[in-house]
Amino acid sequence: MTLIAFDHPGLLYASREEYVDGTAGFVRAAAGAGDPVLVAVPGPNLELLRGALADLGDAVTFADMAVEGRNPGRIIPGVLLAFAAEHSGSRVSIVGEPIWAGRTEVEYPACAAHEAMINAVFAGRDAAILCPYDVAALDHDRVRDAWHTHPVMIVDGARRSSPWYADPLHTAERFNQPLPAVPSAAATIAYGRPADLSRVRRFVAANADAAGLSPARADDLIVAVNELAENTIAHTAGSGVVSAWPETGRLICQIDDRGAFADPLAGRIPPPGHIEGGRGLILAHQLCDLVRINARADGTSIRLHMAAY
Amino acid sequence: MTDAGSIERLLPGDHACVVVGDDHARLRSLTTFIRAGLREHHRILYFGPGADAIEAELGTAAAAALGSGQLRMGTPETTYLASGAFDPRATVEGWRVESAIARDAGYHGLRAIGDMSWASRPVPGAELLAGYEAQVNRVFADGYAMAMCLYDRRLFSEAELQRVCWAHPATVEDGTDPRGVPQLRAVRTGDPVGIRLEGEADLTNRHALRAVMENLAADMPVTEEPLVVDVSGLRFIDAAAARILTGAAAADATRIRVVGCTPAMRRLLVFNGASAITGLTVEPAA
Repeated sequence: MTLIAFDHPGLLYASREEYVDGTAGFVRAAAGAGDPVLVAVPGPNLELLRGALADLGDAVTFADMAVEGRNPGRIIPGVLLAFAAEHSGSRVSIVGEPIWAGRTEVEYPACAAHEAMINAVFAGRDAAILCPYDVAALDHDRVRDAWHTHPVMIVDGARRSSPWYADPLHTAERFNQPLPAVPSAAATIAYGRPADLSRVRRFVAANADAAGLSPARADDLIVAVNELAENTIAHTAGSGVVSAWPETGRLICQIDDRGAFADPLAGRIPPPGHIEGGRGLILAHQLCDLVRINARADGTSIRLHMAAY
Repeated sequence: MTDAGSIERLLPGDHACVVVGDDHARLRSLTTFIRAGLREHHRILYFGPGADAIEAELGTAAAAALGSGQLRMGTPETTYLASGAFDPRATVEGWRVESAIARDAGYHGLRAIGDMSWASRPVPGAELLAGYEAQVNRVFADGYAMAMCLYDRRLFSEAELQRVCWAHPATVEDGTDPRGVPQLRAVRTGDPVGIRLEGEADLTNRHALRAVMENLAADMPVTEEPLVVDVSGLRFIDAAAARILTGAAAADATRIRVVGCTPAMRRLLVFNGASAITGLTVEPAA
């Protein structure tokens, strides 16, 4: 009998030894069972595990979470589901570390919401995703949130059911927080009709140029903003506003409209190949460094971060 | 006010939705388009009301052109609506035939002008108009014929106008920047066999692009070579347009070479599954 179940434990570690013991044990057990294994952890930890697991060779795929998961919103579609799709038919095992001490205050709510959504997206899938948390470096409230986003926690090598784990979408909603205010000096442009889209694109291009974005980054940001503005026009009754302003080393664009964001998992699950639409938000997640969303009953704000290089 | 410069930028291959808000703008758009056709030695066919007023505005040039057959004017009711219903397939076929006749007669192009006011009345088949406007692009994409479809803002709802505009590669209305006209130009090429896309492909012209790309193989001479989609003149492409390009290659056995891609376009095509389509190759700009 094969047990089909999704396993999503959080691993609390306080030292390199605990980290390697906990993750390598998980990887070796999965590889031994013949599962495809992905290790997606940030830079320094990636080097540590590459060394510790070198003897497993091609049985393990490695990815730098600080790059692939720089935007936490693309981890589910671009890393986790992509790996599962490459190995459809097999149980997949993944070490995924999306939260580390360097995650900023503005990034963190998107990271925690991502951890909660994993439970909803992978429910019923044959997969295991182990999420390490560095208790020595992370703030206590971030470790506490891990108990809310993981049904099982591994503490001192022992699995414990989390008493705080609850409906994942309800948990994700806790991180649907208002965005910091748009600076009063931000440039803005209103749009409402399809014919406005080319003006919106020129607006983004001009602001990207002024903020010193490389041509490739500017082009990707224009694509992302255009998709979100098209969503406003196609899916809401009203108009929207794009705001743009530079921060150190990057340009921020925010799209505000009066649409209600109906599906909390929108942008996380790629639609089947034959469906033409429904990829705008996934694309924004894929192209941008951070996508923060605040969904309210009377409107939606989506903020995009794009580094200059 | 619609800028006459926008109308003058239209070339064979273009299919413009011109939205006017008053009789003066309507007449000015019509005469601008017709005068350009007279200069370019195009056959010009006008189907709509008010031929007398157009003739009077054009002056002596009109009389000569009407006499020679370069300019013909009629009403939809006596031509493609003569049966009392709108038949999109027959109408598309009619443009193909007129195109061939004008070519045989030595004209350098065919200018079709339709005043679409009839579609605001309960004509059977009028509900098929947006689909027709998309399919008819396949005729103009041969680069010989071109069309201007006049829509009177006073007769159609905003939603109706939006539906028909999306089926046109280009829309001209109050406030349209002439420099952006036409927003998209899609003209099939013989050497190499394929199509050349220019401008910006987005929500405003998605249905037009889809109709042309979905039928590209059917509308081209049979060839052993992959069809070449030259996108070097495209300034922008949205995700759905990228999907239309990859979809054209994924459908049936059509092999497609997309050439002249910017890095951003290439990323977009890959995001839309280009790597997994065996019949599709994507090549960067030279």
